[in-house]
Amino acid sequence: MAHLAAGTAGELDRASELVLRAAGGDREAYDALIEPRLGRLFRMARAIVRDETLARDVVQDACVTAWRELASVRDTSRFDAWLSQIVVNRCRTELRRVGRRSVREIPMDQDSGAGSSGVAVAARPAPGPSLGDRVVEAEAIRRAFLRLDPDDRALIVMHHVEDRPVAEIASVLRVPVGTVKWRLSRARAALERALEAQR
Amino acid sequence: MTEPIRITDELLRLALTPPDDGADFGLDVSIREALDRTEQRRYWWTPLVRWFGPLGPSRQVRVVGVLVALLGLLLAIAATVGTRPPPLLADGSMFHGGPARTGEMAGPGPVAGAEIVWSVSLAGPLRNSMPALVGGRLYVADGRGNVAVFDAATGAAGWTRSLPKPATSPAIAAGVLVVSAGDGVYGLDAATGTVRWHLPAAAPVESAPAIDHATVYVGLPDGSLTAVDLQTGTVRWRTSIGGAITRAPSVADGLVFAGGEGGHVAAIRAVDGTFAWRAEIGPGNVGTTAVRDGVVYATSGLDAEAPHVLFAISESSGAELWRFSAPGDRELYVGAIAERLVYAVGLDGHVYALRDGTVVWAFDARAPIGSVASLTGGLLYISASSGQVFALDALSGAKRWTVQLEGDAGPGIPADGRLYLGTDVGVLVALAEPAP
Repeated sequence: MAHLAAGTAGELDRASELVLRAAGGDREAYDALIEPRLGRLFRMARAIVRDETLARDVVQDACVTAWRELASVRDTSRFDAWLSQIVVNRCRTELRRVGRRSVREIPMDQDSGAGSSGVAVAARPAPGPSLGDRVVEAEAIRRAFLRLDPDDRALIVMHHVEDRPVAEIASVLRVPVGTVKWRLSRARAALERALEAQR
Repeated sequence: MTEPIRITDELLRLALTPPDDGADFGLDVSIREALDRTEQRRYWWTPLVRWFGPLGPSRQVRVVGVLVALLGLLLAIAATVGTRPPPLLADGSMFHGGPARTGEMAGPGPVAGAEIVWSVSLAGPLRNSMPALVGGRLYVADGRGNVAVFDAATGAAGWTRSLPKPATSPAIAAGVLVVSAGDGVYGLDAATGTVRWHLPAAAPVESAPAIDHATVYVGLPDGSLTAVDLQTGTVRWRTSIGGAITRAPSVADGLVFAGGEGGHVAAIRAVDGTFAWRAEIGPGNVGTTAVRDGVVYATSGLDAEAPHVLFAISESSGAELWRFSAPGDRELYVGAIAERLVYAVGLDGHVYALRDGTVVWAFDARAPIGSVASLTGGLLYISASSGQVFALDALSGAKRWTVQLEGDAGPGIPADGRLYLGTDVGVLVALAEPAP
């Protein structure tokens, strides 16, 4: 997966220049800066919030927030981390808001192909894996993922889905690398417990 | 039979990445419109964008800026402290040595003995009126309203000024001589004696002024303690404590202490004239208060047939700490305050050295003592109505020397190896150790 944050020197220089121009009020520069990043941000948001409409709202809000606060970016090389931080924070806020508003439910994905029993999808039959087994397992993980809190979701998505290095996640979350490792470990344990709870 | 699912990155990606990955998401119309409606936030460096760019100064520039600002602040503080005039209230610049009225002064005074170096006649008596000494000049205000200045070294006269009588112990600071007189309080130019301001009063003002931080504090016969700008005479605040104030107020730690007729004692905040506390210490008048180390000392029952008591009062709360009455129940005054000793003087002719209200030693002058004492270099200088001036060892009360003057001697100022004092027959005297 390509990462703009880890782009070439030329890409970084170009991005830095756009950040400076955009921070000075240049909308065209901002459009040029933000547009290539939207797809990735949307996918990250969608993976975290598990809702396409909500993810679109999150990214749109993040775009506006970033434009408004752009001059607060102290280091142009941190723009991507800063932008990701806005999206992640927005996701967490939305998930907490949704969580407060309603009892958490675990919807059945239409493409899961699983049976009607929640228990049946929580484990796979022995012995060997098959494509059908993997689909069932993926569905079980999706259901378990929905039981995680927003922070754990964001960490798992950034590290295991987006394949971001721990150091980059630490930069996004503005916490030490060791803290990210510890939180990741905790998030995986929470996911395992959620899976176990389905058995 | 089932077995646990092993969570792998591949499985997580499969689970959490929808099949339509790569879905198109661009700057659609709604986002563009939202951006068009949004103004960028302005930061403190926004006006400086020309020099620092849209993101403001770099971290290094900010750190340097903060350090420079701190350095500037330190320099400003140092400059302020360095250029601040020396304490306005040098010893001897006002009644009882300074605004706290402890009587302790820098000195030195005569140690081994004393004789008259010079004496000059005044136009009026000095009854318990203490000269003020600043810059080698003695300022005197007598009972007939005359204010005069003399050279402390020779006794040579300088300017004189007549005010409505009587005039009391002057105070001097920043070139302004403040004198209470028969029709109010005057601020005189210390160099020339010309009147710079006048605070009128309906009756003679007997309270000697205190000066602290360019503010004059004086008690008025209408019962109000008044704060006045030293340079202009403008009244800053005026607070009534409940009875005529005829003795000098004292100032310490941002509080002004004053006692009045009716036994009222008050601590008033110097900044705004509000009460910190009030206390009643019995009938009669209250003497000049004095304060040191968080304790206010005041005597009660003056000018009345009432118990005469010296009270030690908490400066912060007004609570009584201890009290002392002399055996004969005569009027008492706060003579001076040392570090752990309070010297009370009384009309019974005694000096009482008190520690926490207990007499450590007593000295009998054999004549009423109606003047406050002076303390310096371990010696206590006492003036008695007999005209005798005593130097006592402050720790033991042992007499070091005595000098006989004509008339009732007033309180003295020890300085430059001399003791300057006046008498009620209108003589100003300089005492010094006899030549070997």
